[in-house]
Amino acid sequence: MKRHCGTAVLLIAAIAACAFGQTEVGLKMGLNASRFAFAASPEDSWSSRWTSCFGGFASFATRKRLSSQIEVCYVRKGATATGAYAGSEVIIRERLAYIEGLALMNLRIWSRNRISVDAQAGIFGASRVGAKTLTTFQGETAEEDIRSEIRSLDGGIAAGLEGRWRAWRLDVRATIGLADLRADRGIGSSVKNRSFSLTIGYGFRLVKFASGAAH
Amino acid sequence: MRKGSWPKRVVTGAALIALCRLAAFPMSNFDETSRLAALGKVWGVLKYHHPRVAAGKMDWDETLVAEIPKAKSAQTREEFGSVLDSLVRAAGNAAFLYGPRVVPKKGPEEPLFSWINDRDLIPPNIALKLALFLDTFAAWPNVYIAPASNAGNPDLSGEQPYADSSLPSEEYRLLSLFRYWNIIQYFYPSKHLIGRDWEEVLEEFIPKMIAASTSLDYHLAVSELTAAIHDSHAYCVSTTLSSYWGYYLPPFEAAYVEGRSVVTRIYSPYLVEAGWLRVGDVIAKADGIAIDSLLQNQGRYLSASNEAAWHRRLDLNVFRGSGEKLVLTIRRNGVEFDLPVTRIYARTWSEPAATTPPYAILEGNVGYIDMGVLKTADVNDCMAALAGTRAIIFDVRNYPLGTLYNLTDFLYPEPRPFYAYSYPDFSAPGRFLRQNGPSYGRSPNNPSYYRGKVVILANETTISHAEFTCMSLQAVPGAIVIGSQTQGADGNVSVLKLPGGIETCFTGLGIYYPDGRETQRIGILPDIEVRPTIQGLIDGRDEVLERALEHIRGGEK
Repeated sequence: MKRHCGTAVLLIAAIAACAFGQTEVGLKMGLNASRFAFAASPEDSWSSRWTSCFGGFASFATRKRLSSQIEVCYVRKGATATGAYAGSEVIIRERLAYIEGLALMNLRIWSRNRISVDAQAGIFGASRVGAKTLTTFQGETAEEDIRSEIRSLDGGIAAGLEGRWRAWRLDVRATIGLADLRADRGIGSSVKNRSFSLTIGYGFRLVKFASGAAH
Repeated sequence: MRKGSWPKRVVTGAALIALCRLAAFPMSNFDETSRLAALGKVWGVLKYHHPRVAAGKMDWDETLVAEIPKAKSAQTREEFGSVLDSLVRAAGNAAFLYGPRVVPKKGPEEPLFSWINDRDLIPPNIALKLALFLDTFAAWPNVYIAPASNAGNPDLSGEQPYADSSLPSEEYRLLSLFRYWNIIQYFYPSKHLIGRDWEEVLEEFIPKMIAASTSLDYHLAVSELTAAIHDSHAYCVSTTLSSYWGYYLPPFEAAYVEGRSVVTRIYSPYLVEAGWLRVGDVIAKADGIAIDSLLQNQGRYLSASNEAAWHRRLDLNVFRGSGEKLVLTIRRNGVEFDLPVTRIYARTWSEPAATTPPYAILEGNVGYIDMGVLKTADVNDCMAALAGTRAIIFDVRNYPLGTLYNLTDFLYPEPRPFYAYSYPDFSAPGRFLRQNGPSYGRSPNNPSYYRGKVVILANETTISHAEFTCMSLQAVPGAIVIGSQTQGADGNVSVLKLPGGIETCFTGLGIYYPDGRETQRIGILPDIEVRPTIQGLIDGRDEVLERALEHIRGGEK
């Protein structure tokens, strides 16, 4: 827990420093669809997990069309497998939760009036805060804590598009985990996170307030 | 409907429904023994199917030991379910990390896993997980078991011996039972020949392991457990047992002849010269205890594949003791008398060296080979010397010295297999693979093969490699076996260590004739059954050999 808190504090401090020095800070929330990428083809029917996500961001302009962005989000990942055994439906929900920090570069690719679209790419690091399996079978649901079997840190790359209208932002983004989720990597083959998010954010232009005061 | 018949119909209907329910669902209790049995079975499935357990990622024995008290004290199905859940969690429960599947495609097909469907003891989520592990994962590679490099029988050297104390704690005594039970359950090729429900054996021995309050109680309970598989290879050895049975061996050998214990061989020249003990003497008592009573008491602790083997083992065991002095009550010529004899300390005892030649030509141009004496290096000379005989008697009432492979070069007209074998499929515990052994004999054919009659002598002393030798000789065209049923334990031996300094073993391969006939428990069955008689022993005759000679001379088919 100390590690999670430390990561969050550092990221928030970085966001705040950037925000006050540059452009914008804000909050965002939305939907996140996640699934697993198995190195060996799975034999089960896996479906994505749809959940909400929320967090904060800070962005600042570096060049005319280029800006950088940092985000800290609480994201739930995982996937759901369904099947049938002994005449009963089986639903296995893998539930992972992370605090995720992203560092992104934004490139403006289109803009008209107050509407603009940026392409984004960057990296993310995530700290696992929860992991469990919910198994529903023959009318009973069992919950299992699997934190000890999931690595505490994840990381990878992120890419997407961000549309802006005034202070509002609409992000469509894919994150690809590059780290193997397994705490014990001597068993089985690798499993990685994949997710796709759709979020709405609202930003506050802190730099504008500061420059306004100077005038 | 007749008036007034409805109550009867209702009662009958209810009884029928109840009966149907009883038939449809396995009966189960929720008592301590049932819970512990279920725990031991779940532990065993995970041991041989869970990839992390098989890889030795955790101390699986310790995990069981920690769960046993909780399983004992569980009062409800939910409490016991959480014990099993804890066991699964200890192994690792995130199945999606291990393999391609999280939902089992099919239920366990083998009847030996039917207990998984007992919902009184196994909650649905645990059953699902066990089914997944059974469906998806295998024991191989497994730190606890591997195929022995030379033959493919189980190599169990990965098991911890826990030999510090001869009386382990209750948890380790149960570990001993669960370890043994699961190995036999999944890796004993002749489990189908045990003759009783192996699951019943588990439930029978749980209270015995718990009740064992002394090291002797425990070691005898393990002996009784190993005897339950009815395998003549299943010796059970420990310091405690050696001390109990005694380090002193009788100066003679006895055999079960005409339903009595009879002296067949005397090792002490002093006894022979003095004439105090004679071959053919019937032993009625040992230290004042009737032999029948000794046989009764010791019988359940000695494992034997068949009755002949059981008597053989008993006759070797009942005259052992913890001191030199042994008073035999001998019955000779209708007179009963006590005879004190001096036992021999086991470590100073050795089988007297053979004084007979490995081979000879008997009267009537009949060759004779003592297979217990013939060495591999002597085979060429032996077969050259006996090439012109009308028949050869292969005496396998002993333990041969690995000569069968060389002998087949002289005896087989063309290469042929003489056995098939089965071994555990380590990737699917509970299943066994069967295949024919290789062909032996000169290739492509052997125009100068021995054309005389081949007669094999075998009896209850013939075990293991000796039975294998008999099978190789039986493959010779026209070969005939004379004597009596052999011990019925062929195939390489797997050795297992159990807590408390106990070592036991079992026949780790199944051995069959090429046509699929079993040999385990059955042994080699004679074509002509001949057993020694007491009078024959007194007269110094070898009646089995005599019958063989008679057969060769054409006196009997």
